[in-house]
Amino acid sequence: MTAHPRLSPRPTRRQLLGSAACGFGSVALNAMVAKRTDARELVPHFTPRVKRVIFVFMQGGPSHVDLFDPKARLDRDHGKLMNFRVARTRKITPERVMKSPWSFDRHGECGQPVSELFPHMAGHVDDMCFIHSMHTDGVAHGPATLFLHTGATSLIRPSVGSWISYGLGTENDNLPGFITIQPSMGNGGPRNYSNAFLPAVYQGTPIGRAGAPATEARIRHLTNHHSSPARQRRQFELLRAINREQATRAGADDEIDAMIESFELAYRMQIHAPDIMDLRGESAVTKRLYGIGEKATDDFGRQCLLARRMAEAGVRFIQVSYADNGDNPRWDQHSNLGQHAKHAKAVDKPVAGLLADLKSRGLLEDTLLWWGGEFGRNPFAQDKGTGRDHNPDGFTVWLAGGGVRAGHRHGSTDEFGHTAVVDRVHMHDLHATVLHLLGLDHEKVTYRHAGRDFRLTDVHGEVVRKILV
Amino acid sequence: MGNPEDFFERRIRPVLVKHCYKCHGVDADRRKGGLLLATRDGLLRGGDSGPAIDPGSPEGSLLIQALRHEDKDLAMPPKGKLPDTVIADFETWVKIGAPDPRRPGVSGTTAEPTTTTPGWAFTPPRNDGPPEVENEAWPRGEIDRFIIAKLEAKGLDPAPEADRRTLIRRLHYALIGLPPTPEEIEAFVGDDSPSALATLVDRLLDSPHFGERWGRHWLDVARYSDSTGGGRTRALVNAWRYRDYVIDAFNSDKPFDRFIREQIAGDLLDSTSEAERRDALVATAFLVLGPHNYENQDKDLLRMDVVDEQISTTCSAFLGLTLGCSRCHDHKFDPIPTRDYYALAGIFRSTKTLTPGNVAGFVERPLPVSDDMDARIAKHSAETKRLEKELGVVKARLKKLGGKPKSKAARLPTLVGIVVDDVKAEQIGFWKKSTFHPAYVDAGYIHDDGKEKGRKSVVFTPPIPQTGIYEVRLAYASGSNRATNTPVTIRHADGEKTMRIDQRKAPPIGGLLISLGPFRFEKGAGGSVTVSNAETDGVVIADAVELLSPALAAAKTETRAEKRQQTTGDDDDAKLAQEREKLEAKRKSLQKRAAALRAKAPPRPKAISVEEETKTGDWHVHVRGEIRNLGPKVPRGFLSALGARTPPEIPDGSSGRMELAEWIASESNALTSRVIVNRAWHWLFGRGIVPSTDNFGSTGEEPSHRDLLDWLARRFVAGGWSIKRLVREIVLSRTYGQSTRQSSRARQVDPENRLLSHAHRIRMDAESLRDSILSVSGRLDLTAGGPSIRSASGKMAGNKVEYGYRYSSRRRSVYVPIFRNSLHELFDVFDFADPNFVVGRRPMTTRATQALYLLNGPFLHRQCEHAAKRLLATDGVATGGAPENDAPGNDVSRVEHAFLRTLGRPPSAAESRLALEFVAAPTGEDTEEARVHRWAGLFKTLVSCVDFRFLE
Repeated sequence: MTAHPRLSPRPTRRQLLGSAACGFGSVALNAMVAKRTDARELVPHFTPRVKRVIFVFMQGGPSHVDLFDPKARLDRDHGKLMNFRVARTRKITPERVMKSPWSFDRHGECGQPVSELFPHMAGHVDDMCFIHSMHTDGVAHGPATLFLHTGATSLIRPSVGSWISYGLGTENDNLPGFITIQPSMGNGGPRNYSNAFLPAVYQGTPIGRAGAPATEARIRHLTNHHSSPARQRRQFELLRAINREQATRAGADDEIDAMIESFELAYRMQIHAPDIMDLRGESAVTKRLYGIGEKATDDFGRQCLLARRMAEAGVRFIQVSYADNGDNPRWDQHSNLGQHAKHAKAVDKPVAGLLADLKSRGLLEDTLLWWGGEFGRNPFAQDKGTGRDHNPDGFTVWLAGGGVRAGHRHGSTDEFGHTAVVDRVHMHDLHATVLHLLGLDHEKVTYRHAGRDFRLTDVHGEVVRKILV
Repeated sequence: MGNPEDFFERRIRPVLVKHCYKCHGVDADRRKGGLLLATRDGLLRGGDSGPAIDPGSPEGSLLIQALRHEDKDLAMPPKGKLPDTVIADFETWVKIGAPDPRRPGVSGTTAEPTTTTPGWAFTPPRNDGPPEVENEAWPRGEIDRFIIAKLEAKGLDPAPEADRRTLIRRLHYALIGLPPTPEEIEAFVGDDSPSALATLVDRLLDSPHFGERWGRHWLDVARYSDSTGGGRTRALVNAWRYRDYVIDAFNSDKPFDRFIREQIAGDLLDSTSEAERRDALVATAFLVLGPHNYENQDKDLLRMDVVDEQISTTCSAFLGLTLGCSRCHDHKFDPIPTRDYYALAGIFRSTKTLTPGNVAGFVERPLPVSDDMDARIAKHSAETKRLEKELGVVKARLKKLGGKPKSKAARLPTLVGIVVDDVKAEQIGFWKKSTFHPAYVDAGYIHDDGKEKGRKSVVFTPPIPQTGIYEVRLAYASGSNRATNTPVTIRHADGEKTMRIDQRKAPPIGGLLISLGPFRFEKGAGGSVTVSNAETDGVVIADAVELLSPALAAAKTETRAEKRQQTTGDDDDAKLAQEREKLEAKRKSLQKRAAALRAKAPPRPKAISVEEETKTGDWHVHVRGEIRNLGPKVPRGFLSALGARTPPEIPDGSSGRMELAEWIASESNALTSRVIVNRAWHWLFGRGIVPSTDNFGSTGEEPSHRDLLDWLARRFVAGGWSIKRLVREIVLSRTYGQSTRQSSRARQVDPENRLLSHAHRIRMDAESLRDSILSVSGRLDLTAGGPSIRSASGKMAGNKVEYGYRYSSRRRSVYVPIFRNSLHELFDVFDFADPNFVVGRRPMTTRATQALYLLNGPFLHRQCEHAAKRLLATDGVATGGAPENDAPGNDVSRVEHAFLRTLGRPPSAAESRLALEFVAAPTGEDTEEARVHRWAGLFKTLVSCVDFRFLE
């Protein structure tokens, strides 16, 4: 059933030390890594197409019919009352069809329609693979956000990034496998990057949090604000000497050694890790590419650029969140669809910049870039007003990078954009596909907990083979 | 394809269940053709036509032929051919040999209780006495005999007894979770009496801190939290009552069987006192504290998820069994069929836990209070009622007089024409609702917020009853920030006209309306009035449009209402106004009194709890766990593998929780007593006799000393389920008092130390770490009990309280709120129990984040500064005794004291030298600030070092 020998409840030294939940740049592999003993063979099940994933999370539910999935019927029937099955109520009720206030044009050789809200992304459609037939579980933000990140609306399950770092380990033994940049406190908060019952080394390491400026995003306690470097050095030397004394007296004990080494690692980390977070070395051209320096895009641009730096440094799963901490998150336009323009502006250039930058550096070949939210929005007005309610039954995400067909459209929603009808892709299927691209069989990455084997896709999930190269 | 058995589970079994069991299942009324497809035997044996399958040969299998509908007489299912892909699955399955993991007698959703041999844990504890041993001198009691017998069998010697300093530190952390003071250490080290150890143990067992330490262990198991987590988290504002109940239960040594009954069915128990009743009600929060996603919109699923969590938690906490699997299929490893799961589900479905809502809620029940308080509450509520009634009468009379006399709204003209209010108009762009300005039609008006000029408009489309000329009037609430140039466009039968309205000026008609002039409208031609915010210089208001037909316009230019507001001298009106004023005054005074009364309301404490559902009864099996796929009903009951083969008698209208509680807390339950004594063993030794404390099933770990576990379990029950007695006996054993020294032989023979040839070195847990640091700094606040969530705004809505919660409390860690979505950082970093699961055994990790927390975290820095200042405030400190002032500047004794405070021992020569070098001022660092900083650095080192973070 599983190719992995199971982890013992006590992680091995390598798990403890190798994936220290923190990262630093180009520190040479140290002695402790050389000494490691492996409990599991971390061999992919297939030839991996990508080494890492960058997930650009659009929190709140961007409206696919206003961004990537235009429908002529909405223009034609605008204002009419028509029957729809409403996901929230599970009932068929008359709803007022609402056209998109924005115009669409076809772009690229593939002719992908893109809303006027995304002029920059529109320039890269030939690198993207659109899945228009997404559907998922959960109608409210909390359940659907948790489902997106963990494959369960309510049960406590490890997050995608945790499964991936559990399945593959880290690319660089000095870095965590899973980083989440400015995650939201809301809609499940830390559960969205939690290891749940997997060993804690696989939890996502947050950098900053939603709502705070990107310029202030840090790994917690990476720097000491109370002592000068000289004083820190002295205290560290004292600790090291006293620990050595006590360890000698205690006799051979792996756990004591691991604890002592965790300090060594932490100390080096605080010297080297800030480099990776420091964007000052990036050229003005690069910064402009991400919209850094422009009011509307500066913040998200910084996050996206940081994601690229993490990708370069060998992090397996990097999440960037366009998010806040509210119950009605950013893209959640129940009553004022016009706000979509603001959010589109904030993310368009940074995301397009990230894609272009990855491509020009050759990173896109072995990186999967994933753009999407927890669900889409309805093609009709909510309460016959000026916004749209949540729609888990049909929406769009796009992927780009190694292993996926570029300039491709997969599946479609019905003529209103309401329900995925052709080549439907459930969120479980997307999870299975992401794992597949990393060389992992989603049915084989399992972990035994509470008496049974668990996996990301539960008993579901089919790899979406039609989008693979 | 993966595992062949998986293939069966995923592709074959569901089809059999869905399409075949009705006629070929165990419970089928008349098993058609004598064929049983619900068991492997049945398939192979076949029915009247012979074996259903020939493993390996699809072509030779009747089942395949039947599925293909090749032969009319043998076409199954009879209602219609299954999809080709399904038939192909069956062919594949037969071809690979028809792997079928169903055990004899276990047959999916309609199985009879299994007949397979259950694991050791399902049989009652054995009654073997302690074994014979060679080394008669070593055992201090029976426990030691069990231990040394196994050591002798392996040729291992027990380790020598730990020294006194080690022992007192070990016992302090194990029993109360706090470090011993230097004075307590010296007293114990100096106590020569043979009963010194027992005296120490009894002191600790009697300490109120025992319940804080051991209660916290149970809170790990009960997945205790102060918030629900999930999407929209809800604060469990009254959860602290349950926490305090648990602490009290351990302090008062409440018999554990009673503790179980109260947590499962406390609301149903008879009680002899009000305090007992209160306790029992509070205890049931155990069933409610789970990590539910109350926001889930599928309320049927939510309800079943809650039931599932209750079943899993109850069975794991008390019975050490994992039942989650059985929600969808028979347990593959343990003898727990799906029907047992749904027998329990019937009990919990008959129990009300949820309250309805878009974001649902949980049941809270008022707690019993003293008679005196009860009387006060009754009196208060009677008074409130009386006042409200009086207020009601006054309000009714006021209403009769025509509403609020002083507000402008009441003096507004009555609209008699065709009215379209803003809510009925089409709003383009985002318009805000308002009632700020009192002159408006109906419920309020809308405005453009002064934003997005040119992108918002409101279209009023009045119905035209007959073609003709109408006077068009526009209602708006004027104000000084309004637009002076609001464009209003009238689309009428003869064209379109746009005019600009100055909304800063009060509307001329009754302060509410302005006339836009007469226009011709045709019936069915769809005229409209559009208010836009294009090129406007202020806030644009849209309220209502009124159309007056020529007749109406002439006859009722001044309606009665308009007239009234314009002619205030009218006699009748003056009288009315007087009366109104009087009533208004009365209303105000009554409202004031009601508010005062509300403010004085006697506290009515509430507890998170459950209650019996109004509709109770058995429940269906959910086929494959799908909530809308209902199988047969199963009678409510317990686990057949634990001997509960006949359903219990549950009185009408009862959930069966009471019976479940009795069954779990019964002496004859094979698991309950073993599971709790094993938990206690784990909490003391750092590893259980069964290491997998929450899983005694076959996927759990084997006991290292089954005979000892059984002996302890029986003794525990015979001794009245007393936790303190159990703990006392264990910690006074020679086994517990061993040192951590591992012999070289033990390293070879028993590297994991399962046989306990020495003590396990135990990592200090998160709470002990925090509490110890606070006691070293002298800042620990030992206040016990009571609410722990501090809310600046006084509001207790989940997100508001939880996100970004500032943990500033200096109380013991057990009193720090546990928020599922934002755990205290130290807890998060140092492997605190995940409040989403039953945690009998915490994970133990070593991560760089822990080191970073200790090196750089502000909490540690602050506390160590306090510790340093405290130490330096006394000029010299004598070892072991009270601080003395006779040795100014004595760094040696200060260093010694710092070690005693933190590690419970004086420094070694080498440590002392290192520490003294460190605290001595390097050049340029001789300020007072630098000195405090150095001593703080020493404390920081001492609470980070090996000997602090590991308990010997």
